[in-house]
Amino acid sequence: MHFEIQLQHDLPREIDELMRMDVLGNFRLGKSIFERIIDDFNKEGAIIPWPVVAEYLRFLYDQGNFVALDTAIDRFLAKREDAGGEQQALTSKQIQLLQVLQAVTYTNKYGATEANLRNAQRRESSAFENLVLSNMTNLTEDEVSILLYVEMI
Amino acid sequence: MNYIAHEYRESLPQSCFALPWSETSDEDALCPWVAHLLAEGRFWAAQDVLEVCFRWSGIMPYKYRLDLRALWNVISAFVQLDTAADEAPLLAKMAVLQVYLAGLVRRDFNISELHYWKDARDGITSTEQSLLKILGENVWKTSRPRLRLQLLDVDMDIVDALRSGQNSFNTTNCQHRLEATMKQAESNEDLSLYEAAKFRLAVLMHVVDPNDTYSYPSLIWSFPRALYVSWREKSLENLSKQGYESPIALAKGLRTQSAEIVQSYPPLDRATSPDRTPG
Repeated sequence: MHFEIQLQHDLPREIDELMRMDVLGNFRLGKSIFERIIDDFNKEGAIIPWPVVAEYLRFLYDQGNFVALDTAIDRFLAKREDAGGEQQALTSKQIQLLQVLQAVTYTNKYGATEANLRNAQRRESSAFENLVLSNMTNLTEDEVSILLYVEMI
Repeated sequence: MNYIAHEYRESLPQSCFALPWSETSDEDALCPWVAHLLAEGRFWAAQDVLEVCFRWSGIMPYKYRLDLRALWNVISAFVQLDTAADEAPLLAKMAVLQVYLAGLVRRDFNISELHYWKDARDGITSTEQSLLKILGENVWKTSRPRLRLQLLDVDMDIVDALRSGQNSFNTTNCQHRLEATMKQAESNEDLSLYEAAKFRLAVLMHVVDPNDTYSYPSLIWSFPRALYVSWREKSLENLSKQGYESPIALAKGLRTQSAEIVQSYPPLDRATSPDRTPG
């Protein structure tokens, strides 16, 4: 079966298996499979579904791979800007979630020097404030899970 | 049983995800929330909630109190469910038990809570047996839950040593176990666990002061700082009784001797990317 066709019909099962790798700590294999899925979406010019984005970022966070996490968030945010209009890949709420996650990633990536902590605090505060103002009660479990995980609520 | 089920999550009313604690709620809201998530099969969300609640109660214990008995009742009921043939809930049981035990270890040492520790460890042992049957020894031995358990066991050995008032705690055994954990974590590309094991090793070898955990943001919550601070103070006190004039001078001496050993473990790929600068 062609891989892209399989993805269309069986995405939850693919992601489910990847999250099993996350739970079992098989990050070496899991990361390469996740990246293959995302590359396939990109090659087709298709919008990457939010569950894939959310679980991929969580996978990197679990791994402690903050360099890759920061790069991936940049990539998803840039893709949204490229798409624009009704074709945009992410909702504004999801973008704010990514910004919160990126702010938390900051100190893990650059180290907790006093200047970096101040910088990260400012970024977290601003990103989180935007998120709460947007509509906190309408978060799905995926989104709540990410926020819980990054210690923001 | 799925690990995640997005279509199911989407169908749930959003009121399910009310925050367990807020300005107007109290600790009574936590247990029903965890119980609800476990009952609905949303194990990983339950695990996240537990983790965060332990963190909050650690930061502000006067505001966020944990009713450990009620919490244990919820977890215990979940652990006792008959899921022996199903991998996902078994792994979830292991994860929830480990979060609970790690949460207890991170709290200040409290003799009245020890029976909760024992209950949780017993639950982990029985769950481990079931997982071994399903996953097989090879998968289990290299898995993240197994590595986390090795770290927890080192933590609990230190608890035991402090509780029993051992004057000389032999760190060699802990060192070997932590090195084994690091080796497997490196093989799994599990950067988080690798750093967690390495930091414990550095503290045990007096290369770093556990009070320096603020320098390691991702470790702050996974590392039982109070426990290792107590151990370090006790260790330096015992060694100073053996003729060292100053614990500070002693620590410096130990650091010089041990630094090379710890530094021989390379940092995994989490360094700053060369094309990005902070700011």
